[in-house]
Amino acid sequence: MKIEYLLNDIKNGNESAELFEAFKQILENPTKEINIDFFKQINAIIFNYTKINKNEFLQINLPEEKIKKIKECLILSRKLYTESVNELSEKKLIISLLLLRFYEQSFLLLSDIKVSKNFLDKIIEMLKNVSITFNIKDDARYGEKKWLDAINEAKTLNDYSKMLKMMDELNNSPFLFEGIESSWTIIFQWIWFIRHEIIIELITTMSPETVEVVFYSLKDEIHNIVIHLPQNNPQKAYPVLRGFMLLFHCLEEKTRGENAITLQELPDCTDWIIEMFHNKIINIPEYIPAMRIAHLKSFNYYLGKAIAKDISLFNKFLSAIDLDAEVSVVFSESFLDNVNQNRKILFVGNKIIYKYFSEKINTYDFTNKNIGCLGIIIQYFYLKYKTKEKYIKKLNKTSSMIIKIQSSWDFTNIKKFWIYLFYLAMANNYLEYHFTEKQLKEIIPIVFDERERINQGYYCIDTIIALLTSFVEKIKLKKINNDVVEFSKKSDKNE
Amino acid sequence: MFDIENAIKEAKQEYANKDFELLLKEGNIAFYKGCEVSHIFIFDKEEKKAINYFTLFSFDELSSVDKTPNYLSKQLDINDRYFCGIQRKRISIENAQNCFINIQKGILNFDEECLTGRNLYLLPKAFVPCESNEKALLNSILKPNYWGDNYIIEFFDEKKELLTEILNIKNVSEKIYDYIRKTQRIKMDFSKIYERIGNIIFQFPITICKTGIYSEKNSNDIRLKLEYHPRQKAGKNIHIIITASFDDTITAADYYDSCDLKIDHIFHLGDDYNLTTTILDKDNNLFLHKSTVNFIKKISISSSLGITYSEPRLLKTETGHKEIDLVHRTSFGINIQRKDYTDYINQRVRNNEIIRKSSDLGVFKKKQRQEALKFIQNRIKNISSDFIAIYLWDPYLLPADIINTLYYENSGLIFQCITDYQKTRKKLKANCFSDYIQKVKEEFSSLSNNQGVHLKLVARYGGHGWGFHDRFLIFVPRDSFTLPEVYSLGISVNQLGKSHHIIQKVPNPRVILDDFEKLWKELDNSDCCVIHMP
Repeated sequence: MKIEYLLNDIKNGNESAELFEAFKQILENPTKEINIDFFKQINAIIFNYTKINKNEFLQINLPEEKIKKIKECLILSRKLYTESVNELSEKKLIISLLLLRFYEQSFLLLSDIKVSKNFLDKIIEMLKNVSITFNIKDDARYGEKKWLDAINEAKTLNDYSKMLKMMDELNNSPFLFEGIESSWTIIFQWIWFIRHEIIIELITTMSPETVEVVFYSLKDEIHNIVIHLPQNNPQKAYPVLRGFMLLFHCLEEKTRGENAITLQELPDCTDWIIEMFHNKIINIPEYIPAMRIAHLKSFNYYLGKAIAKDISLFNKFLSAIDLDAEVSVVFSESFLDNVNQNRKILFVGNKIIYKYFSEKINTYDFTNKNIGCLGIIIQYFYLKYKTKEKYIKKLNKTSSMIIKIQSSWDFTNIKKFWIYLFYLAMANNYLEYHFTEKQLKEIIPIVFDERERINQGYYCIDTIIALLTSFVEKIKLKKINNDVVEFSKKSDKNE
Repeated sequence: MFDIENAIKEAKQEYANKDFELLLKEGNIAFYKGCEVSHIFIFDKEEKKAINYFTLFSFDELSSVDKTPNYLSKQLDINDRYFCGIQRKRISIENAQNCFINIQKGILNFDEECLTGRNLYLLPKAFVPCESNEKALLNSILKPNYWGDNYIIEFFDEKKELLTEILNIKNVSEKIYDYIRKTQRIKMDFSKIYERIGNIIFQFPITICKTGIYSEKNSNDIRLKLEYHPRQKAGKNIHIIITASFDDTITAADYYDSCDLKIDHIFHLGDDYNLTTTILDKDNNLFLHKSTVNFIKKISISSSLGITYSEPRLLKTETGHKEIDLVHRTSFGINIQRKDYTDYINQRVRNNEIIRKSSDLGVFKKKQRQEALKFIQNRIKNISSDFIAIYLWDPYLLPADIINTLYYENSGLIFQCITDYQKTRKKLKANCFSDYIQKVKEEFSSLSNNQGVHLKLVARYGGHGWGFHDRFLIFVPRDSFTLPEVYSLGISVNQLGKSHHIIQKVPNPRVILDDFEKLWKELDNSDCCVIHMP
């Protein structure tokens, strides 16, 4: 557990004169540029002075001598900070912040020192001229060189999809931002601390590499950055897109691990997301595949909410919903929990049924109740077949289709209709229509063709009959996904 | 001889008529309510008559009928005179029965009268299983039966007189196969079962029951479930026999007799390889089901993995630079760790198969001239009566080569040979083409009396034709239904057995024959003809 110093601890006291002398040499060299070497040099000086590394620093019982040294460094940090503000010195600011960062202390230790507009303007000017580029060594692997060529080509062509994909790949690299931790990240974090708007203004002018560093520096603030970015300039769309993508990845992280929160506990940014989905200038649906967020629970959660609120979004995003994937259960539940009009369920359900039953989906399986949008499908049937006559007609039509296909030249679609019949039967858990076996033999004769027990399995046939008759006490299901429907002994014959 | 043949034919016809009634009877193998007729025909615009290409009467349980037939696709124009079409119509059972009787009288009346071959041979019923290790090819021209197997009663057009002339037109057969294959709602493929062209089949799908066969967890017992058609109110008197086999031996067998309406029986076999299940209706002497299944025990998958941004192999070729993406081959599987007795036996079976197929291959080394010539001569001598000509295609072909090979054919088949003037003139010391012709004639005269020889030799000369390198010996069949036989010689005839080479049978012979015939067309003229006997 790291030691955190309070402002009062270091407001007064002696700074480290020795360390100050070491920095003086650099500060007095007017030709010394602010670049990565500059940062490295400062960090080296700090480390050599304290001779304390990260692991040591995190120990609870540091020797008194070291604690004293650290305090002196922090006091020096405040001194340099004050001087930088007064003298408009970027270098002193940087050294001050690096000292603070080295000992993992909060900016609050500097919060009482006022920063003038002139000084901020100077820092902004410095950051505008910052150029962060990716470098590949001459003896780098072929793949790394190829990656660099690809990202450069994407930048030249303004191919945002490709840029998003390449940057995402970069995140898996172990060398990403090597050295950046103790350099520009601290500056961006400090600016954010002082005034958020500056980052928001600056980021739209930055190169993709620098944008990446900014987002990296302010991981926990991506939400707050992205929702304030201007969304009406296609030339400046990249930070918006990248931020949008990273936002969902960050939100997803929050739902995992030891301190995971539920989806419902995530920040409510539905309105902003709806706005983004509607944005015609930055056409988000076009970039969903490149963003690789369709498989994230957080994305599906917000999408469900967004569509429940604004149904006009559904057509745009239908292709992003993978009906096979378990994660789209989240979409389904989120949509159903937030929707407040039946007509919306009917609209969405109709489209989903069409898509699910027209595409070749490999999850046609009676025992799989975890297909993504089963909940919506069942709700749709519940709303559509409000009268028993309509329901009977649909059951009968489906049964007849199966019989027709049996006599045709192509049986490919037969399983599809059996699944459809199965889901129709599941909807009866809500509809609660009662049928006798005799009635069912007239309505869905196909289910009573004993030969079909061999083809479709005893489980399917018994389940359909049980769902439609009063053999069992019906179990009300609030959510169909992940719940198991229990039946009487007749349906215990599982194949 | 003729009387015996006729008597056999009449006896089969009698059987077939009885079979027809037996199969149609409700409850024997199905409960038919109607019949779907699929009719493929070739229309002769000159004679204004349709010729039967193939007709299928398939009984089913739908009672609807059509007033007029539907065309399943746009007609296929074969040439100015003929086109091919496909129709479908639903008819009643009674109508189908009348058709059956009329076809025996030589009348096929589908929509309008359609010509069929004379004296179609009516065969008794045949059982066509649909689930088998080697699926009966007949299934490729029958309507799929959702419930299982089929019986058929077939009118076989033995002579195919009406169709031979049409089908012998270049590429027409393939065109028609393709046309039928691509037509939606009729999944028929005649490319492998072309002997059925011209026939009429009555198909009786067996729908009376459905069988499920399951391997128990111990892999020694088999569970069989059987459920009947909803209209079947009582169980049939059936005999079920299940055998397991491996390497042509029967490794297990068990049987069961039942009259129950529902069957769920465990057969204690001791093995579950190549399970053949046969269900027989004892009362009517009809097969209800036959299948051969294998349960998957091991899965071995080989795959190639490509790595993103891995360095490709770079090539400099004649046309420019090329990149070859490199992959890592890997294989993995389930239950493949231990090699068991079946793996050893299967490996030997595979090896034997390879050896068996290699009899169509000869490998020759230096100083094996006689052996190599004998390999060719034996194939020529043993040629069957299905063939009418032999072609020899070699750029260095000379009279002695023809005499050393083709002349061993003694039944008077036609010989057609192609050589190359430029490549052979030096050997004959010919100054010009007319000199070349003269020298060739002299060679033939000096080496043989040419008794009974029907030979035409042409040479690539004077800008005709195109260059060729390979050497082929081609046996040309009598009709388009028989596959030609083609041997790749590997080396010129005059060099056979003088250095290392192989002579092997070509797996796709029609292509080679087509190419020879194309080149022959270019060279078969007075400019290129070298010799024509007699």
